[in-house]
Amino acid sequence: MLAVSRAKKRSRLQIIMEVLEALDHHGELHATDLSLIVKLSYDRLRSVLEDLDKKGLTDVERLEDERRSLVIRLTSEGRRLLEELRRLRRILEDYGLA
Amino acid sequence: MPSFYEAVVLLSCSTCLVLFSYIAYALLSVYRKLRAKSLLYLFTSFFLLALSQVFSVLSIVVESARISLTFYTLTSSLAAASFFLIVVSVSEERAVAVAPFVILAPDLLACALAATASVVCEGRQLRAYLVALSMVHLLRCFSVLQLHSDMGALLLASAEVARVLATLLFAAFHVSRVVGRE
Repeated sequence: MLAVSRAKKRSRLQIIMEVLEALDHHGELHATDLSLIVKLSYDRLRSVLEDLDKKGLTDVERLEDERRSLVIRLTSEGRRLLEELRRLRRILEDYGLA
Repeated sequence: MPSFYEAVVLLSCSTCLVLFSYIAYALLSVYRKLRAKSLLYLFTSFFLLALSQVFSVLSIVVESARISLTFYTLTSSLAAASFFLIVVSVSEERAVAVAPFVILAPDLLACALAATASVVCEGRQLRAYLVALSMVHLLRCFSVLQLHSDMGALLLASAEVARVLATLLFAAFHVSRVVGRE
């Protein structure tokens, strides 16, 4: 369930997991780069990011350049949640559910 | 003092209870942060599995045969509900496809059993009654498949009427034989 699958429609949980993994891997990312990495439209990604930001899992910074682009980082809470998700994924994989 | 068999079953049930409860707790804590529906389904399915282990333990511990049987039935029913929720958590569309077969299963089984019994049993009237019963369960299966329309309700009502009529006729036949003898 948590596994990354490009052919099938991804669940919201899968998308969140991919966003958190990408942010953890790269440290910080521009929203446009993140949308390319997780293969999600910018609008859809924005709603996910707003949700994650509201829950204190990510930190979104608006740069004062001409494009006013967004830079996203994981917070310590987000990193902790990602660890929990990875642990759950391992357990669910053992049950053949991931 | 429990027997060796009871002790082993109790130990394995308790171990499963702890494991399922732990997974359910972990899923709930992540669900509370992310509010993803699939996590809620998975939490509920593992919670039901844990609950089924509680009833499994109770069915061994309780001495009354009737209450123990009730707990034993609850164990398998909760486990079945849990497995269905696991299917829902993987894909809601798949669950919608599987649901009729889950609901149909008891009627399909009853239909097959009644049909088999009608072949094995002797006595024309009993056979006729068993054939009627198997047809009733088959009708109920069709009614479940048509539940989205009025036809489903009509089929279900017809099946129940047919079942009552068949039972009444069978009972009337036996009463007539008893009365005839006297």
